[in-house]
Amino acid sequence: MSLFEKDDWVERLNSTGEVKERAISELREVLMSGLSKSLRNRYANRVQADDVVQDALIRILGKLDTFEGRSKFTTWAMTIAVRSGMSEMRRRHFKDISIESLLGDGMRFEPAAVEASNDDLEKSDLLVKLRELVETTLTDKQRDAVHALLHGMPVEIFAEKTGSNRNAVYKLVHDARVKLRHGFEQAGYKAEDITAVFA
Amino acid sequence: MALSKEQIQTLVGLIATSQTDELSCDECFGQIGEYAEKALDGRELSEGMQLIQRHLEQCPCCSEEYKALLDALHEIEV
Ligand SMILES: [Zn+2]
Repeated sequence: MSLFEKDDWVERLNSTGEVKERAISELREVLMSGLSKSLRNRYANRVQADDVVQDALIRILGKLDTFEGRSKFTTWAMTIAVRSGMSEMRRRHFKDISIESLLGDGMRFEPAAVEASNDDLEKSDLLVKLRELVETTLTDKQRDAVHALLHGMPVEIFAEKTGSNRNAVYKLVHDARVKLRHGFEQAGYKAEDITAVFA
Repeated sequence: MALSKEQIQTLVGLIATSQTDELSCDECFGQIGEYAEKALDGRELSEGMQLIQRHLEQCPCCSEEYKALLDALHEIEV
């Protein structure tokens, strides 16, 4: 990226009067153009791009001093706008979907899923091991988070509904995955074996 | 609710590719613009950027936002 671009946008947005107004209006146009395309066809078009852009502009102006110039300014601004738009769409999409309704009676491995692979003994062994590891090594919270994720609930929404935050939920699921992987390794299964069997 | 075969397959894939040194969502977000520009230019990823790629493979949330970002950047590049 050119230094000029960084200096130019940030400087103009940090200025006053007409220069600032024009910069804001240009940025709004850039964001609108990107978001109209990228938010379309996601989560059944639950938000209007102009609402998102308005909200994103406030965020962007509020954190101008954190722009480090590692990407173009417009790219940086777009990451903020896209994240903000996606968050809002997810929130609306999952508004009436509770974690309980997704989890039902907890994470279960349908016997059919295991039986169906009886023709493949290795797969069947792995599934039995997986079920055992999930039941014995994960905490209730980890099981719920992994389960909700597998049923399509984004970590961000799971975090909101459980009063946590996205990083913490990602970490919760990450720790669960690592535990399961170690469990498999201790039982003599390497990562390559596991994926090969299920490929 | 019981897991479907596809869900079990997804879970197994996520387990097998788990690493101890993964980025958090915020760390990924902090570098995603740079990562997207490199990807759009077809430039090679540095080692640090590969951590982003791994996070995107593990995190449906960030991956979904990344795809939306690429769509948006494509649109304004013209
Ligand atoms: Zn993430």
